[in-house]
Amino acid sequence: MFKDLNPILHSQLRLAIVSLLISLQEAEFTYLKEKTKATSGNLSVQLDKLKTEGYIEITKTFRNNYPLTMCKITRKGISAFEEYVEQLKSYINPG
Amino acid sequence: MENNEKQHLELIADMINTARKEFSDDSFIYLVWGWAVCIASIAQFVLLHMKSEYNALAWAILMPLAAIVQIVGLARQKKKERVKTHVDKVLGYVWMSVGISLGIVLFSQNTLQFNTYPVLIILYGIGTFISGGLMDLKVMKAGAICCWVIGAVEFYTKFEYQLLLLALSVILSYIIPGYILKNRFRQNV
Repeated sequence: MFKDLNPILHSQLRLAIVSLLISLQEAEFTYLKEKTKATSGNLSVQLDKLKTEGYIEITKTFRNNYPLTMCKITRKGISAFEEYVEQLKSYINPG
Repeated sequence: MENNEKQHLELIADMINTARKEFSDDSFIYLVWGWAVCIASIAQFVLLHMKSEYNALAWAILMPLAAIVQIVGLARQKKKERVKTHVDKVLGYVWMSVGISLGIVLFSQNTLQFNTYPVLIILYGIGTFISGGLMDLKVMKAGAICCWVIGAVEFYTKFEYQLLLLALSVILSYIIPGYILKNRFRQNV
């Protein structure tokens, strides 16, 4: 039986973001940009979607007069990610 | 369809691996405390031999100095940090616990008398063994084991030689692993 894949996580960039955040306590926007090799615009849009879904928390502050965006995964995000991985596994090893 | 799913699993594994390798370069803390303790204990050994009344002077100067260097260094590092990892958090708590315990031991020096330094070295062993394990640094883990052996021996050692063994323990568990850690970060940059 194939389970429906969570459409929010079934996107290359959003999945990459959540996979990074799952292993970190917090990460800066520039770090995510570097590791996912995404453009700032695209990354912003995807982070916003994840935030709206309640999967991540975003805090905006300043460091040395430069804006600093920190991202952190939420409990809801962690469960969604775990569920998504289980679903993926059922696709790859059906039965 | 299946290929796409496989790619997604690969992507997850790749990203998790990337993040797992992250932790801050704290080598300077090991080096600052390692050198401060090493110099202070050797200085006390030398001053004791010269029968100086002020044989503990180096401690009084170097310990507060090392604390200041650490605070300034950490504040600077925080400005550069782009990620906070779980390993960093655990390491922070481990060293906070070790630091508090060291403080209690030092505060109770009068009661502990010649057992003070052995207890300190055993506490170094705890901190460096966990850190070495979390950072996958075999040299630090080996240094920690040396600390425990040295600590055990020190209970039966004369005070002046305790000082030399203390210096040896920080060379093995702080200074050498500290330089290796520093080097590792340099290569990664």
